[in-house]
Parts: sequence; structure tokens; C-alpha cells
Amino acid sequence: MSSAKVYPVRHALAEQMRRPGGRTAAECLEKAQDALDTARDGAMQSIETLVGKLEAVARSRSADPSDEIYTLAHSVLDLAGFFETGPLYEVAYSLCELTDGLRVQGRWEWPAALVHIQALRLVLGAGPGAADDPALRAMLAGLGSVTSRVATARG
Amino acid sequence: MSALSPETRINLEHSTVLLIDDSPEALEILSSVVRGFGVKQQIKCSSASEAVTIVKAKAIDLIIVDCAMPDMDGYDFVRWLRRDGPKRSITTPVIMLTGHATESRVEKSRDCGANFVVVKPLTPMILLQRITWVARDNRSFVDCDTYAGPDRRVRNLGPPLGMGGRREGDLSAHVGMATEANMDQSEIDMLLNPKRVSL
Repeated sequence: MSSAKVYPVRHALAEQMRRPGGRTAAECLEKAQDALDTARDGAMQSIETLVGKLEAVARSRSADPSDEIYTLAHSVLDLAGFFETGPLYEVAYSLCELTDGLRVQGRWEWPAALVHIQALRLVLGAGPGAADDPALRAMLAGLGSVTSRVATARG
Repeated sequence: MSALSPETRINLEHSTVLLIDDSPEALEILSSVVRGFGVKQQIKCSSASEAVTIVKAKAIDLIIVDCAMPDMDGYDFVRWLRRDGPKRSITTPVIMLTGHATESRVEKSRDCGANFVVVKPLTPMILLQRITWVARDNRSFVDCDTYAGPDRRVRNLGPPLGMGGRREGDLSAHVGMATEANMDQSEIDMLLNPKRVSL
């Protein structure tokens, strides 16, 4: 067993944060939220572009698109994760799970990926307000089942 | 993790924050959130290799890095920082951001030496809480053959059963025989509820 060197640490950040001045937590959060609200429209346009790219990959039906689809789905997730996007985030997450699972197993299932990509387009149009729509919840549950089936096959 | 009181004052005006994300949009959004927290000096890098150059040249107080990036990813960057970074920056607090948080990815963040992994969806409240948490993070740093970074034991429960432990402060799980007689009930009562006495 190797030996470990253990030593105490004091972060400069803690001392800087304690200095007089600064903002209250409430002010910090308000300004940060304002910034997010300003950025939202641009981010949603970028997500729209990414979904378009996913659809283009889907049309190509290439033999091994897993890396490309995972990267695009992850980019959607990265941007959607800054905002309250509800089902959009859930579908992108499910697509990441599915693609990652298939990559690990070294195989690919177009039907499972296609249904996710179509769902992304659908929820993008529906907006976050549709999160409680029973039909949408049923669709999300269906996507969850598809991804779980792949995960089970992995195990 | 305790909630942040709205009245708590936070001063990030004097802190230099390094943000690393290969997505220009995500980097810009993260930057605007951090600016909202009052950070005046922030450096934005679109790749981990660019960040390596910055860290070598400048003292940084906090690093927020995306896990998934092409070429050198967030995990490799943190491993480099903890092992081969400039001495002044080896213990710099690091928050890792991830969108797709599989168990293996969260473990990878912990094992590369990050202070905290934040899983999206991310709200300003979550990020601000994590920043204040890592600033106060007083865990010791561990440097051994297989790991360099903050002690991964947030709670000290001692080494696993049957193992000796590698740290000076590690206690044996073995409970020895009592060396003194048991306390009687009145002594225990006195310990729990001491009485004032006049001398």
C-alpha cells in the first residue's frame, strides 16, 4: 500500500469572499437570473439548430452515428441545463443515456434513436409549459422504457 | 448542504475565476451568471489546453470547468492541475459541470481531484451555493500514487473494516477491552446534567 501525504488547505477564495463589500446573495441571484433571462432566446435558437443537425444525421442513416448523436444530444443538454426547459431536458438526457448505452454495447438501434429525435422536435415546439400535459408525460415514460431496455441489455 | 440566506454578503469582486467550456454559448451563459455574482475578473477558455497556459501564467482563485470537451477533457485538466500544475494552483478549488451525469462520470469527477461536481439543470442558486461551499471546503489535500486532490471522505468514518488506514489520524476499528470499571448511574447523570455547586 502506498503512503499518502495529507496536508491542510486554506483557499484564498474564502478570505476574498469575507471582505467587506460585495453583494447580498439575493442581489447575486437576481442579477444572475436577469442574465439568464437575456440569454434564453439565443440559447433556444442554438438548441433548435442542434435538433436540426440531429435530424440531418437521422436522415443519413449512417452505420455508426453514435458518437455524432451523443455529441449533439449532449450539446442540447448542456444548453438546456441552464434554463427551466422541462421535457426538452428530459428527452435530451434520455437520448444521451440511450446513445451512451448503445456505444458501450458496441451496437446501434436507429428506431430507438429516431423516436427520441422526433420527440425533441415535438417538445421544442410545445415549450416548458407543456410539462404537465398527460400525453407528453406518457411519451416521456415511453422514451424512458426504451432507454431502460437498452440499459438492461447492457447489464 | 445548508441553504444560503438571502442577506448573506458575498464578495467575489477580488476573485479571479477561470471558466472552461468548449461550447461558446454555454461559456457565455456561464460567464454572465458568474458576472451576476459580482465577479469582475474572469477568464474564459474554450479548451482545456488553453486553460493550462492560463493557469501556468496567472494565479486563479476558482475554476469552473465542463466535464465533456474534445481532446483534453475536464477530468484530464483537473488531474493535470492537481499533479503537474504550478505549486500555487495545485489546491485551487474546482467545480465541474456535467449535463449527462452517469454514476461513472460523477465518480470520475471525484477521482480526478475536483472539489465538487454540479449536475445540470443548473440554477444560479445551486451554483452560488456550491461556490460558497467550495470556498469553505476545509478538507485536507491528499497526495498519493493514485490520487491527488481534496480528501474524498467528506465524513471521516475511518478506514474500511480490516484495513489499517494510511493516514496518521486513522483509528483502528478494533475496540479493545475496558481498562477502567464501568461508571455508575450517578456519575453518568452528573456528566449529562452537571449541577452548580458553591465552594
